[in-house]
Amino acid sequence: MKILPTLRYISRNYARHTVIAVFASVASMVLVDLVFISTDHSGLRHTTVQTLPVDWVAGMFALLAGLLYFTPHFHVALANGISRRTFLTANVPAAAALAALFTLLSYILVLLHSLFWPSVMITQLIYALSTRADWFAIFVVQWAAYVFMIMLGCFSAMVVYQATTPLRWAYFLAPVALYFTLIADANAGGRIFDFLKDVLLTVLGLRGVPAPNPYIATLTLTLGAALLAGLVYLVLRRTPLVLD
Amino acid sequence: MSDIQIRHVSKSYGKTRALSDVSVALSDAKVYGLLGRNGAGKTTLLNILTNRVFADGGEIRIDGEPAVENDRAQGKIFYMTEQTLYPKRMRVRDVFDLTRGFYPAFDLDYARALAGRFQLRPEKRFGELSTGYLSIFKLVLTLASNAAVMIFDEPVLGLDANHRDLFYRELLARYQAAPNTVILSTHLIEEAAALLEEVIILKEGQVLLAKPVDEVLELAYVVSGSQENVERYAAGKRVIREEALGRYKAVTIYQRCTGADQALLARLGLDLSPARLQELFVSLTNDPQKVQ
Repeated sequence: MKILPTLRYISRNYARHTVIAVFASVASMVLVDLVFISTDHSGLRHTTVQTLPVDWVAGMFALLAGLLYFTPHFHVALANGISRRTFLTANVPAAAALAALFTLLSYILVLLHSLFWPSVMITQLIYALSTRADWFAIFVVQWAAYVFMIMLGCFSAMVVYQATTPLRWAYFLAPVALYFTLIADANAGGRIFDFLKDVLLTVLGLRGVPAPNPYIATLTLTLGAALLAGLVYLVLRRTPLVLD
Repeated sequence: MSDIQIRHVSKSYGKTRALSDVSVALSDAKVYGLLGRNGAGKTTLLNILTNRVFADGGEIRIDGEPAVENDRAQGKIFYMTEQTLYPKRMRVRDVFDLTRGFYPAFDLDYARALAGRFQLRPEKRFGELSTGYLSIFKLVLTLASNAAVMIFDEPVLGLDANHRDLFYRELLARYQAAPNTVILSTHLIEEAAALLEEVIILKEGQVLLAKPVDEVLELAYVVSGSQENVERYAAGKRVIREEALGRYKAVTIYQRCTGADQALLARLGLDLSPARLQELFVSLTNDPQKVQ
């Protein structure tokens, strides 16, 4: 199995992607700072601690990493006689490493920002985690979330690559359909919305426990990522080369 | 070693039958010509051999191992596809480095030197390469791969005569230095004919003929001379091509020329010459009858 050269190639592209993600995260922090300063001047500010969206920006970039790179990587693997199984096997550690890098960089950015302004990430706010005391919990939950997002991106890339046009449309319009279903449901009492919310909050460790528990979310997201990786393999194992 | 066994391979795309029960064996250290008209199934066969697509039935073995999803078996093959599978923003030199990671025998120095001889600039990105230079890049990559099986699919697409000549000479030199299995899939049969040791001709997804070139050429011959005598000679024989100019006529006959035939030719004052591979190919692939 040629896992190592495949992993090296994937990681090299992910490294470039990470540089762009860092720029986007810094830009998001600057934007929040500008909003913070303007609300301060206008007397609208209610807090002294900033909430930075760097973890959500990283999450978006994790999704994009899977979505944008999976197919080109697959083509290069095919060009070099790499089996689909080896290709996916190399993708798993590459995703884990990228997720770890994103987690670390998000954390460092918030730490650096905190030198000038007290700040937290959205994840910390949700789970009431302290930057210094709960660093491990922050790391594992964010890592799991990024791995999940990368795998979701890979799966979506496979859907785009392999599915028929109607199926492709159905896949990407499903979230929109869900959104309108929930709106309609909200007008009729919101039973579906409440059910989905309960499920989501429970699997993310935000309900049914004495305090928000990031480790439940870590477990859920890791299992979700594993499920997505399995689905990707099921699709990938019989996927032929498709060229535009 | 690089022995390839293709057994009863079939493939359909929707209602279109691309390959139908294709069986052929390729042995080590030979130059094969994979020939066929457009849509004959050449690229499909090569794509199946290299795991780009999957066969509906049959199997392929490389040195006794299944070719499907087998890194070791696939690592023996380098396939220069007509389509480029690398991202357009990638630089030529980066692909050289990348390929060395996947093919340990890849000769980076040779790739650079050969690129120089073709005036291919390694700092160029794919998106910037013309059709001809894209072909040059791909053939440089394949030649430098040092793979046990090198597959060239339309290698000289867009190349000028000088570059085509350089490629054929380089392929021959490389082959003589370290004989391996080379599969040339091309429409420019006349140019490649001198390199080929065996030909596999596909027609409508089936193997029409798979034989050493010498044997193939022995299967046919050209008779020319006065129209009347040529027609007299050709009566009852399997004529696959006819050309006439005034009272002069030439026919290609698809069957062995026996001693009796040669005596008759001499008596009728007709000229005998070997058939050319391209001529034979055109005749065979136009002929609706399958040749055994």
